[in-house]
This record gives sequence, C-alpha cells and structure tokens, in this order.
Amino acid sequence: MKPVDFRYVRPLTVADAIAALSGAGGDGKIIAGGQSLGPMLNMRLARPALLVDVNAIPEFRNIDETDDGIRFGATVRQREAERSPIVARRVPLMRDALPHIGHTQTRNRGTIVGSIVHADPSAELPLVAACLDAIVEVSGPGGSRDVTIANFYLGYLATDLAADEVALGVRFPAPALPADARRGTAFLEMARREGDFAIVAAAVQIDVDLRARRVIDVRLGLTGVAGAPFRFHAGEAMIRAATDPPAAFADVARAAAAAIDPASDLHATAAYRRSVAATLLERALDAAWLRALVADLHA
Amino acid sequence: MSRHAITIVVNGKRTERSVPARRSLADFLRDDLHLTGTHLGCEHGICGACTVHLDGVPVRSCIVYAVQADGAEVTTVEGLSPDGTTLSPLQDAFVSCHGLQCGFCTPGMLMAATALLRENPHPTDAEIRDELGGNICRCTGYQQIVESVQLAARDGAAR
Amino acid sequence: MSVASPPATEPHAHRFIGKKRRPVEDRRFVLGRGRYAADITLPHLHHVAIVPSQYAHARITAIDVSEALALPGVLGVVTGAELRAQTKPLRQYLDIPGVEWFPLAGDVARYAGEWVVAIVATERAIAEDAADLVVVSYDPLPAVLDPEAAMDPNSPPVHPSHPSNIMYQRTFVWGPVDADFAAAPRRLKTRYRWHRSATVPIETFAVTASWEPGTSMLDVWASIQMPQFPEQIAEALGLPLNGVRVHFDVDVGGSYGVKRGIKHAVLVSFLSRHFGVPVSFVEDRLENMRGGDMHGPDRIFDIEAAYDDRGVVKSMKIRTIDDEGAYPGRSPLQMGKPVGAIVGAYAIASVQYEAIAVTTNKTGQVAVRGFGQAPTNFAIESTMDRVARDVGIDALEVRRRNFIAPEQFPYTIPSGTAYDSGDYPAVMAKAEALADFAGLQRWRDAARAEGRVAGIGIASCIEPGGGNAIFQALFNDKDKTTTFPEGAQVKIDRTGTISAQIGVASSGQGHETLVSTLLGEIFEVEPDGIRVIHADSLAGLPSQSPVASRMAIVLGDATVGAARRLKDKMLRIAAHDLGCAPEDCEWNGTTVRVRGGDAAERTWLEICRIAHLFYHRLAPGMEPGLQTQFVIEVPTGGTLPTADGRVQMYPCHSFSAHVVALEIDRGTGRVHFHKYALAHDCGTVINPDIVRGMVMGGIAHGIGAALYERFVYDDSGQLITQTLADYMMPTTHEVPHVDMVEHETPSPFTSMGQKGVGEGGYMSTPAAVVGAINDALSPFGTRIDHAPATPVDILECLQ
Repeated sequence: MKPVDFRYVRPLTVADAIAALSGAGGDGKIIAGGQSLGPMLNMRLARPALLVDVNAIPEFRNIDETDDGIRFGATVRQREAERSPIVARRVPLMRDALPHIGHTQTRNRGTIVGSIVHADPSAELPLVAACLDAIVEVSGPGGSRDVTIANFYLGYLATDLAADEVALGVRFPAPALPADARRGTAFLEMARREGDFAIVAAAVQIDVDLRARRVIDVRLGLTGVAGAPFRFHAGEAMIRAATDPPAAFADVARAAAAAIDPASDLHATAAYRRSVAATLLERALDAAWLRALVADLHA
Repeated sequence: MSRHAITIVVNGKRTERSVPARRSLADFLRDDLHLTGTHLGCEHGICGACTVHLDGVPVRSCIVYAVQADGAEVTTVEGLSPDGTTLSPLQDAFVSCHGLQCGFCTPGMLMAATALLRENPHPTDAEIRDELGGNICRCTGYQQIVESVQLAARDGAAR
Repeated sequence: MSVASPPATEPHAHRFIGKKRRPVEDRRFVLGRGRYAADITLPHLHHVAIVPSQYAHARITAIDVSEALALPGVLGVVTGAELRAQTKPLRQYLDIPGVEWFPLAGDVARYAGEWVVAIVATERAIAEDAADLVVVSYDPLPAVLDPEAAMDPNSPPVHPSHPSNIMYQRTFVWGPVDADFAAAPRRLKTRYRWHRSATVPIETFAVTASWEPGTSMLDVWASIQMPQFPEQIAEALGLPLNGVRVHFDVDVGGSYGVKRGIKHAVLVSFLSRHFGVPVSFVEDRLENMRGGDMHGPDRIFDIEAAYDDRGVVKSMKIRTIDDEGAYPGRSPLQMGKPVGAIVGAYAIASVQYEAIAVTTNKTGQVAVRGFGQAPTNFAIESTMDRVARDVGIDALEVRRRNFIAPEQFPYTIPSGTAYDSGDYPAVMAKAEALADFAGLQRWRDAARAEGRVAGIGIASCIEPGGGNAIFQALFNDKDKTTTFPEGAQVKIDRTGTISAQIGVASSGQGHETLVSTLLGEIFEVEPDGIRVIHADSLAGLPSQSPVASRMAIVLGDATVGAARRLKDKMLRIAAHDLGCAPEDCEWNGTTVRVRGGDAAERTWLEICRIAHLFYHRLAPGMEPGLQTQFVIEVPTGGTLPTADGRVQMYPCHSFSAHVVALEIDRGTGRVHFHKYALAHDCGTVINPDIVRGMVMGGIAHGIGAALYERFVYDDSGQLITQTLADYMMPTTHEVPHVDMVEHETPSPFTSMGQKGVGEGGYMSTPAAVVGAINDALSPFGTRIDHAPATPVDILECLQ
C-alpha cells in the first residue's frame, strides 16, 4: 500500500508553513506525528498533492507553563507529555488519558495537537480538550485566531480548521486551585484491546473544597458516543447542585445514558455504548471523587 | 515525481541517497539500503513489525517517510549486533528462550525491547507486556518473548 | 527406495531428544537475516498491483487499461480474459466440474475484492498508480451472502454452471444412530456458529517467479505452506512438472495453514513468462484480507446428543454447513478431516455426520490450523458442557465419565480411525492439579457471592497428527490418492560432517532443529554441527508439505530411517576394514569396535575417509560415499475409505486438557483471565521449547478466535474488517500467562514415539474460553453458542 505521489516540504518557520499550505490551493496536508495521516496516505484515503512537514519548526516543540495554564506546541509528542511533570501537575486528566492512546511507538511520534485537531470521535485527547475547555490556536493566510474547543468540533471528523490553516498549538486553561480545594481526575476507557480506539471512554475532573465539602468545579465528558466529544454540561450542573455529590453519581450516569444518541457500528451496538458510557461515567466519578479526597492525605 | 536528497545515519553509518517523497522509511531501509531485517506486515501502523529507532525512540517505520528522517539517526535490527555476527545479550536471550518461531515480528520486538531495557533495566512482566503491546506476534503467544526479555534483564543487558 | 516407518525403539534415556536446545533457526532471525519472499531481489524484477472488484457480484462489461498502460514505468497489464485463455483453472478438490477458479475474474466478479486486472511495473508504487487509472465497468448482480440462504434453490447462483450453491452434501451414518437415540433417556440439540476468522500471519503472501527461456525453467520463491504447490503451478501453466522449481529455502513469516497462494503464484508465473521478466507480488494487507482467498472456516453446527442420566453420551448427530466463499478449492475438505476425530476424546458409540459446503459471494476459504478441527471441537466440547449442566455434574466430571479409557487403546472410533495411544484421565488429572481446580471453584464461588461474574471452562481435545489426507478421497471418490509421503536426504562428507536436505519450507516450526536433533541422537554427535538445508522441488524428495502437525512424525521418521541406514553402512565399512563380520562389531559412541575382542576400532573420521577416498578398502560392490534418501508413507496410511465413509485418517493422536478461569466485568462485558492451565500429551517431546511455543501460539490463536477475530461483511457484501485495526488480533495484553505441564504417551507408530503438536492449542482454546464464559453466565440463565464472544454479546447476556 503505497501513497500517491506527493510533493514534500519541511519549512523551518510558521510563515513558510502557511505559505506552502496556501500555495497548494486546498490540496495540501500538514504532517506532524503522522500516526493518523500515515495510514490514510498509505491506503490512498488521503491524496494530497503536497505534504507540509512541521516537525522542523522550533517553536512548535515546547510545553509552556504559565499561571493561566499550559500550552502545547504543535509537535509536542504524546510520549513527552506522558512523562512531563508539568502535565501531571496542571492537566492530570490528560496524564490519565495518555496511556490509553495506542502504544509506545504511537506515542513516540503522535502529537498532542495533532490528535486534537484530527478529531476522531473515539479518540482520547479530543475528549480531554473538550472537558477542559481547551483553545486551539490557528493561523492562516488571513491571520491568527483562537478557537474554543466547543466551536472547533463541528461533527464527524470535521473541524473549524480551513484547508489553508495550521494549528500552532493548543492551550489548556488551568488556573490554580483555591487553598482548600483538591482535584481528582479519572479517565476510564472500554476498548476491545489495550491501546485500541475507545468504544466509549469517560473523563471526569472534579475539584472539591474539602473544608466546605462542596464541589467547586466539575467536568464530565464521553467519547465514542457522538460525532464529536460529548461534554455533559447538564450532569455537571446536577453535581454542582447536589448537597451530597457522591449520592448523585448514579443519577448523573443515568442522565448521561438518556442524553446521548450513540451509533451502532462494527465494534458495538448503540445500546452497548449507551449502557457502558453510563457505567464508566459512574465509575469515573467515584474514582475521581476518591482521588480528590485522598489527595488531601498527601498534601 | 518529487525526489529529495537525504542524509541519514543508519546503524552508525552516514548514508546519502535520493528518494521520492512518498517512500516510507521502511521501504527505504529495505529497498535502498538492502537492510531487509525491518519487515512490513500491515503498512498502516498496527502490527509493529516495522519498528526501528528514530533518533533513539521506537517508531513505526511504515508511517514515517524517508524524507522525514533526513538528518536523523536510525537504528535497525541489523544495528543491534556489534559486528553483524555476535549476538547482543538481548538477541542471545531470545534464542535461549526461543522467544520467536517464524522470526517475522522479531526485529520489531527486539527494537521495542531494546528501548524498554534501556529505560527500565528491570521491568516486571506487566511492564514488558505494556511496552511490547504494540508488536503483534502470531506464533509465540508472547510468553517466551516475555521470558526472553526477563532473561536479558537479568543478564544486565541494559546499556 | 521407500519403506515403511522404521520400527519403534524401546524408550531409553535420550542424549538430545527431549533436552533443552537452542533452535538453530533462531539465530538468523534475531540478527534480522531471515530470507523471506519479499526480501528476494533479482535483476529486472518487476512488481504487481491488483485492480479488485468493487462489487460482491457483477458482470464485468468493459475494462479500459489505456491510461494505465501509458504511465511511465508500467510494463504491461493483464485482464482475466487474457489470463484464462492461456492457463488452466486452479485445482478443485470436490467433484464440481464447471466450477472454475482462476487468479483473475473473467466476465463475472464473484466477490468484492476479487482480482480483476493485474498491473506489472518497475515499482509497486507505480503499479498502484496505474491501478488507479484502470476503469472497469460493472453490471451489478444480486449477491448471496448468508450460507443458509445459499442453500435455497432460488438463491442467486454464484456459479450458474453448477446446479445450485451447494457444492457438497453428504450424510454419513456410522453405527446404529437412530436406535441409540430412540433408546436414550435424554437428548439435547444446539446450534453453534463459528464465525469466519483465520490465523492471519503478520507476513502476507509474497511470491516471485522468474521464467528462464534459455532452460525453459520456471523458478518460484514463495511464502508457502501447501501440498502439491509445484504440481498445481505446473498444471495451471501447462508446464512439465520438472520445468517448475520451487525454492523451499525461503523463510515463511508464519502460516498456520493459510499460505496457499496458488492463485498468486500462477498469476505471477504467468506474468513472468508473458512479459519475459522476473515478477514479484507482495500482497498488501488490504489485498490479503479482502481478496487473498485466505479466510478460514465459517460454520454452522447443529448437534444433537443422546445420553443417559449420568451424562454418558451414547450417540451424536452433527450437521455442519460451511460457507466456502465464491471458490471452494481445498477448503470444503476441512469438514472431512474432523471425521478422523469426530467423537473427540469420548467413547461415543455411534455418529451421524452431515457435511454441506455452500458458495456465497465472499472471498474464499483456505486451510487454517487444525483443518476444521477447531470449530468442530468447539461444537463438541460445548455440547459436552450442556450435557453436564443438564444432568447436574461439572464440566470435569462429564469428561471423565465419557473419556476413552487408557486400556482401550488402540481405540477405533465409529468413523473408522484408530486412535493410537493416550491416557486422557491422567492428562486431565495433571491439568486439574496444575490449575488447582478445587481452588478455582472456591475462587469462583466466592466471587459470585460478592456479585461478581466468574466462570471456569474445560476443554479436552484430540489433536490428530500425520497428514494422511485421505479426506480427499472421502469427499471425492474420483480421487484415489493414498500416498502422502515425506522424505529426507542425509549425507556425511569426507571430513565427517553431516548434512541433511529436506523438501519443505518452514514457517517457524523448527524443522532444521527437529532434523538435526534426531540425526545427532542417532549418530551420537552434537546436533549443532549438523547442517540442514531446504531443497527445491526438483532436488527434493516427494513431500506432502509441513501441514497437519505431521513433520515430527513423518519427517522425523524419514530422518531416523536415513540416519540408521547410513549408520549401518558405516558399521559395515568398518567391519570390512577390520576384517570381521558386521555382527561382530558394535558402535561405541562415534567409533566402531569389535565386540568383546581387542581394542581394534575405526573412528568416525576414518570410516568417512574410507567411504570417500579409499575405494580399495571398501567391500566389493559397495557404493562410494555416505549418502542416502529415505522416503516414507504416512504411518497407517494407504487405505481408501469404505463405501460408508469409514477410514483410518491420521496415525497419531495427541491430546490436551485446558482449564480456564476468568472473570467478566459486569459493566462492560470485558473478559479478564484469572488462570489458564493445561496439560498436553504429544508423545515423545523432541525439543521442549519448540513444543511449548507451538502450544502457546495455538492458544493465542484460539483466544483470538474465541474473543476477538471475525471477518465481517456488510449487507452489500463488502468486507468491513479489512485492516488490522478492525480485525483484532490478540496482543501481549490479551494473551494471559499460561501454566503448562506435559505428559507423554508415545505413539507405537513412530520411531521415537513422537506425535504432532502444531495445532492442538488452537483446536482446544476456543471451547475452553467460551465454556468459561458460559459457566460465568450460568447464574443469569443465558449462554453464548458462537465464536467470537464479544463484550457486546456478553453484556447482552448479563442484562
């Protein structure tokens, strides 16, 4: 399985990358990690005239930490993020999700930004991005813009990234927690085999004020249940409103099952996805809650 | 056709060639350099038979294009033996424990296991299975592969 | 000269047999110096890409190759019409004249993915570019995709030249089945579905052919595991058999039955002769999955058992329907081979067996590890479990009550095969002890008390070995073949070093290690100094190829026979040189000495030098040198089936008992192995690590078939599991650690008592794993009677 013949450039600057891509008249593709694009090229499902390799652009390589959060440049490898203490500290939900992505070889090349931008509805990183209100930094011939993740995913494999635009990076807002607050996260996935795309996965981040025993913030999301990651705002509201949050987790899971309309495909029926989404969400809530409480013991 | 002049250090040897942009790193190694130890089992990034080290880390060479490796260092299975004849401790352990049968997945396994032992000289069985989860074997059922890596770890194969 | 298998020896302490030894093949593979078919380079080598049919069933009305031909680098293009005019159809094993199978479709495409046009170019990438430019016009036809629908006379015919889509249907009755059913206190009936899967090696099929007009010789290098591969190439191309040379020194990257690329080889051979250049075709993964004709059994079983209140099964009726795909080939015979073990390990007195082969618009089936035994065992073992549940005993006990007893061997089953030796209760007891079965029951019951879902499964299966392919005659009485040979050539040179030549390609079974170990044992020399090479089909001896767990048996005995013959000659050379009768001499290690007399002796090297250099010291009339060929027929072979289909199938019968304990996640249906233990008996073990590897590999294949692997077609006949992302093979995470213990009941038919071992794991594991799932589901009153059993299936049963 060999790709069609394509031209190839490996620019050293963002400006050159944008110029090359726009010069291809919509027939160019960015390649970063290549873990999704490579198979598509080899199977001739993707037939670009030009491949723009962004791996040589220096400013794409960094993980930057600020007071507001953390930013991944476009070619930061998943493996690097997996090992990064910054990631563990500021986006523990991503740290939880990363081991589920493919295998070592995949994560050695695959990028954080590439996976988010590729937008596979069964992938792990788009779900993390959706839960944490990530912001995609995009640039093209018309200039640069920020796109909130809620506006970025438009449907099955469709995003608000034009054919002549490049994703420069993704920012994850991660403000510091208040003094008495602790964070717990959980990412649970059901896949046929370890490392496969999720049939369904549930992501939970919960910030608890331990003194007041109150939920300050909660993020709930599911992948594999729609054409894009499903952010369960209604469930988050239920938890914030609950006087005894853990007692509400089962109801939240049931509500999630009712709120989604998953598809049937080769790997699972809609009924299966619905049932397992609810199960995993409840388990993830229990696990994240426990981690938030336990975090205090080690503070 | 888009051809590119590339320079790659392969198994320690600096190599210059002209390649079409669409040629995979795996095909470059096999066809241009006649290093046929790297095998192709799927060409879509699943089976792991094509695993080589690219700048020190194991990658699937079927979905890296040779042009992308311009300026990089690549190590293949042929680079594991110090002289092409003597077996490295890991290679020797695979023979000792019969961690292979048909040999087709073996180069990829060895490259993945080499990277594992370099980082984690004393892995548990679970850690070995984790790191080799991206390499499919249809012959062995994996048990003797895990034993091989354990034997190499015990013999201090980490370098 | 061909003789029967050499006589069995008394068991004694072996020096090399049964001892740990580094397999000789492993060295080149860890160095990355294996030589697989895709590694072969030749000058002017050209490459093939395929244009496949996009429809499951369609008339091909036009093919436009003009743009493809114009592409630089393209040497030529061949359509089915051209190929079919110049080659003969590929071999069919059933008696189905009018059902023709060629490498390329003619005017009808019969499955989505069938090969329609072949492109030859200087590079594979260019050939694929050209394939994109070929325009094929199709008139779609109705397709039939369901095997039972295909049995309906009104279903769309896959081959209109044949009366229906039923290619074979026969009912065998062995013993008083109706009477036994009438007299039985209990009966049950179940349907089992073994979905389409295969052993899918990591290496796809690859073949290079080179036609040399100067010598009128066709050379072929292929990733092959197939009986009569050179013969079938010669037949299709109209070449004399001695004009085809298949090189068996190609390393095969796994086969487990499926590397039968006869259409690939005929295509490539034709292209080489047609275009006058060497041609290589390396299937890509999509071509392999969709159009390689390498799927495995796709079965429906309806089984009725007649039994008593103790769970002792008296009689069984088995009806099996096999979906062959569009071109039957050898695959329907996978319903024939199981006849040789149709009652499994059990003393069932009578059997009725109906086998039905149907064609549908899918890619074809091929031989898969076990040749039909894995699905058949799945159905039989599942039935035994149901019997157990019905009479209220556990899965171990039902087997104990039904086992053929050790004192009953050799035991002839109703379909005519005699099982050579075995001790099933002893092997089962070993498995039970290794697994700590009672401990597992306590674990399971405690888990259940906590509301968890846990179960234990047992399988106890026969693994026939030897490869007497008399099922060809059983399913086609025009086929009178009874010879299924194997040969070995051994020589010792003037410096005393030993070489052997075998006429098969190996795909990881360790044949070089097998042969050198046996030669080392017989000659009492270190096996590592013995060279084993793979002959080509012209230089090699008659062979039925390394299928059917047969090599230890037949190649082993051919090797032993050759070695003993040479050793005898060496003794006679020494005796003559020592001036005494051979009966007065004996071997002492590698030296021949006079019995009980003085210290006169001749060393190994001296004897070799006499044989090769000193003709004046040889007995008159003795051939110079030390070399021999030894060809044997498969033991107990040579008889045709009776009119009612009884026949001695394979000679040797290995056996294993598997115990599997697993837990199921109630919320996801996911299976987690808690324990996997087995005991297996393959007679005398020659290399313990190779044996263990074969068993373990079979188990991994079995876990794939039980839980993960399935070729799925959509309603329009498109294969939707075309990539390895969708066709799921077990990784390190899905195959558990397995505890294994051995037992040895030697075969009386082989020189060292060895039996076969290549297929047994795969034949037993699916039954044990799905049996454990069903045990776990039993409190819920549900069960799964198909493979694979997926989390979706399991969760449905739990809710």
